Amino acid sequence: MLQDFRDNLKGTAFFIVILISIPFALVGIDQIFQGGSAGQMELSVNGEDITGIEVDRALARHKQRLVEQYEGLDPALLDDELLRKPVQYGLVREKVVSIRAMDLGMEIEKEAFSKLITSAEPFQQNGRFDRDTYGFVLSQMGHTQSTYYAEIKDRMLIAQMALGVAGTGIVTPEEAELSAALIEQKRDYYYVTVPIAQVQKTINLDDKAVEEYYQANQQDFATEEKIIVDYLELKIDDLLSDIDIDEATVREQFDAELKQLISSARRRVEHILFADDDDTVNQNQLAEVQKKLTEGATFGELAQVYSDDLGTALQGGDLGFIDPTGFPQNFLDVVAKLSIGEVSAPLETESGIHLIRLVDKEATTEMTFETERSRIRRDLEGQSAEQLLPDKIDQLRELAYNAETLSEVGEAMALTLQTSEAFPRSGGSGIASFPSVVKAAFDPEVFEKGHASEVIEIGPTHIAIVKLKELIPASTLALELVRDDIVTSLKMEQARAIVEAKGSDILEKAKGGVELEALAKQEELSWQASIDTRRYGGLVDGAIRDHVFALPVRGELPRVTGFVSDNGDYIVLSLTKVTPGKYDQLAVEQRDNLLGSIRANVGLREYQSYQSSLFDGADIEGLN
Amino acid sequence: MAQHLSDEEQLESLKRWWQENGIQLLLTVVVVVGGWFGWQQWQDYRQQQASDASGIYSQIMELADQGPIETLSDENKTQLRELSESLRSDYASSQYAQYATMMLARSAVGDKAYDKAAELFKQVIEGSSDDELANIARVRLARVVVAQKDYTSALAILDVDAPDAMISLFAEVRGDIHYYLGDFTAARAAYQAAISGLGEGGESARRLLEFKLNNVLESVPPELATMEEES
Repeated sequence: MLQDFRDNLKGTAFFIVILISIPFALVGIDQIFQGGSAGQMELSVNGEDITGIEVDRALARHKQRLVEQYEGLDPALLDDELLRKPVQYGLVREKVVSIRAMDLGMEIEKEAFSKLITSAEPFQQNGRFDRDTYGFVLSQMGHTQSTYYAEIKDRMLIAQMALGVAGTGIVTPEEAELSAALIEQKRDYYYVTVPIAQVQKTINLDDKAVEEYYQANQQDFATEEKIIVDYLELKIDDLLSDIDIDEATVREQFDAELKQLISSARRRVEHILFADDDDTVNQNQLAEVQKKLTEGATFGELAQVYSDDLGTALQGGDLGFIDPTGFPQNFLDVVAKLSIGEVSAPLETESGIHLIRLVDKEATTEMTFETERSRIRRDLEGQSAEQLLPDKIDQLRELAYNAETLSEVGEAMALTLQTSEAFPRSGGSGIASFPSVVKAAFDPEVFEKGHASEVIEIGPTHIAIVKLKELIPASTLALELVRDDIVTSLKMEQARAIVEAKGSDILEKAKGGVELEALAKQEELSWQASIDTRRYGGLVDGAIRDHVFALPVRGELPRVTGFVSDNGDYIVLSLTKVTPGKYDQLAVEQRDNLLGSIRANVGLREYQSYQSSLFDGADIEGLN
Repeated sequence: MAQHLSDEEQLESLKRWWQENGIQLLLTVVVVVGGWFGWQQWQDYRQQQASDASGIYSQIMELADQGPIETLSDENKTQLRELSESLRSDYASSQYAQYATMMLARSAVGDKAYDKAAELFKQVIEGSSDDELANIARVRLARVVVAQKDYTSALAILDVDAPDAMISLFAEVRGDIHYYLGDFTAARAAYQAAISGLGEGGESARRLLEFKLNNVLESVPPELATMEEES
């Protein structure tokens, strides 16, 4: 039980807000800018606007968190529409806090901001802050430097407030004692079970009772109206057979992919730059270095002495894993051809003359034409099919509009006419498992007038068209089909009444002061005792234990009560003793944990009340 | 003819006007310009002050990041106290001074120095321009007074109009006080208010509140009572 409370604690170190979270990995962030309304106000809090793009960014961050939390979750399956509202709500709850912070004159140090930015990995190149990267990443997120500063400032202020409120939470020993007394409370109880199962077996039912029940409860046996439809279905896979990709095209694609793969492998290089204004000096030094290299000097040592690239010379010329966007093409070409440890021939760029050594190369997976051939073929076929699909949809739409029957359309398009299983308005299996299909099938045009439906877009690469084949009206299930169910439920009903009567009888006697044990023997029933039972865990019947722990503890004990359990058994129970938990008897570590968890949980709850109070008093627009 | 003044006459009247109003005009200009600069400087000063206070506060944050402050090394505890005191004395009017006070109160409670903690909470209640923070300090003050077993004063401290979002916090402490006083009926009502007032993020508190409520019940709660009647 204490363990449970400790687990609660784990989630509460929340005021260490993750300040730099850049939703890169997600598809969707690049779509942000497609909407024209991105820069417009979407929400307003106390007169401060939150723009569409801010909500988009928060949404992307939220999705990223979900993906990190639930491994294997496909972000494409997350419904933006569904997530947007909670994200808006969260943003507003943050905004009320940061607005309050500003109103209170709170500030952040410019240095703290700089420190944060320069130490953030996403803004670095080769382990150092890089202004261009910073600008690039910001623009990827749709930020300008000033909007980004404002956002980070908001979050830093929120973190400051959260520490000031939640992080200053207190706990007193009395509170810990009371909590321990309750959490670690133990109860003793005895109970007698009047089981329903045996009683059920003894009950005999005549057919007349079943018949009467059936007649009286017709509505329980009603079946829904169902339909069967004919349909034509077109999936992208159906188009694949029409497509023929020749070997040469596959080969061409493979070559392109291979080239891409090889050039994309990250490479770590060192270089020595000769960039003296006097080219003779350069040539002399170059010759000297090349000579020393052949004599066995290490590249790094030579870089320290000779390289004119002051930024890297002291690191032995190390450029780290290089980012292709930062280097001229001829430099990259040379690097691409080097094997590990090899030093290039002198290369001239705008900066001067370089000697380049490849230090390391991230392994690229082995890829041969044989292993990739069938995948590439599939990919290419898929791509071609996707290009064909729009035409096919148009064709289907046009044919269906003019044709008398679906089979006619099917023949013209080389599609097989299929028939669904019967399904109600709530949907069924197969083609009827798609809500869009069910909706179209029950459209009055199709369902009442018998016309073919419009082309139904089940998914981007999956379409169908349906026509009513048969209507199965609503009816009532025949008695023979439901007889067993009726018998079971009638028996249950009668058994329940018998068990309850017997149980109440025992309960009355127990309340009158007769020992449960004696009553059990008299009725030949089993009885159980559970001593020092805790609120959680232990090898006891959980439902009975929960019932016992819901009983009041003030007033006289034993407290006798009875109830029907979920399976129909009647339980007569007697609560005989309640023992409070003892804080003093907890191990030191448990005590510390309890203190810590109350302090943190109450602090967190106080902060959330603080936030809710600001939220309640705020003037908010756009949130509904 | 009177309308046509000669150049000399014009100059004369200008001089007269200057003698009468010149000083006043100059003074006005000086005051306005000076005021504007002064205001700018005051603004800059304010911002600089806030930024400096924020810097000290981030050092406190870094210490708090290391773990519960009760578990910090003596050296770090001293550092925390000094940083807090410096905010309270050098930046007394800033919000950071209030947080520093709350932080010192927390460590006073940890040391069972309840009088000191109470004094600090009172400073926040009286000195904070953040009403919500003052309310949080008020609930904490009441809890400290409960620890001193002065139940009547604690109830009086809580006897204010709390904002809706904070009713649950106030009610729980009231429930504890009534429980300690042995007034189970009043405790029951207070705990019920605490449970029904739980808001955003309150779920983690629900379970303990339900235990507390159960602990003051004298008769079978309604949801179980119906089952007994049925039988």
